[in-house]
Amino acid sequence: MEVNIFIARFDFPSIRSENQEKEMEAVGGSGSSEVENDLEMKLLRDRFRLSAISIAESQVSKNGMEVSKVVVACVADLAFKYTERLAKDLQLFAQHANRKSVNMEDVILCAHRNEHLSGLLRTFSNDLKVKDRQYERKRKKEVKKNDKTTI
Amino acid sequence: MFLFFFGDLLISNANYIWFPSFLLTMCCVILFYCCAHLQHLVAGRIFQFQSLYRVGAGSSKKNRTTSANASALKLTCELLRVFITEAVQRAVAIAEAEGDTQIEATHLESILPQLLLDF
Repeated sequence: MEVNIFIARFDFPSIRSENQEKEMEAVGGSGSSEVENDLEMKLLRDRFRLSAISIAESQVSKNGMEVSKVVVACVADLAFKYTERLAKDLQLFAQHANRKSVNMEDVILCAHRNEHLSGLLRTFSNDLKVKDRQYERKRKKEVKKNDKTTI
Repeated sequence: MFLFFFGDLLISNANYIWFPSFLLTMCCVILFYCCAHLQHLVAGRIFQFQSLYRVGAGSSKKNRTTSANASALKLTCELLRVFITEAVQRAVAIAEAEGDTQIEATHLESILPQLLLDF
């Protein structure tokens, strides 16, 4: 996969001139960039499936059971399709709020139908916020220390 | 236009003919310049509209790219992890209830509708 992506990246631009590429991108991202995107999407999808499979297998081994390969592949595919739906929802939520970036609130809003799930996500987001604050404080302290040492 | 003007001067020495013809020629000149300028203006307008249209098409809401926050991405990962673990745990529960040691496709099938409803 990675070799293919390298070929796509280094071969196609040499065929077209820069202006043509810009025109192609302006028209709608067709041509070499589309091929590149397609390859990159396949690569990302495979990586996603691999991590999903590893999570599922670790869960199964925790329970001391065995699992057939078909089931694991099905779970991975299910998770990928769920991710596509989730991403579309998140994009629409962000656009509706006139934002260019997806927020934590958007993700929690995606799971608003399941109270347990939204509660879980809310606690997780609070933990993340606390961790971020601690990290920022540490960084500021380190910056101050560095300033002192330089002075 | 100028040739016409000077020709007029040469031919008509009398003042009473020269003055109205001069006015006429000046009017013609002004009209001609106005027409030319108007054409230029209109052409410029059209070009401006074209460029405006292009810019508007580029920055429309459909083509706007949306990025994700770092913490939002982490939260999404957590959501997906919960999804996968939930699917596996429910399948395990069904398999244990049926007395099997291996999770088969039938177990997944039986838990799938409720799982999709819950997420």
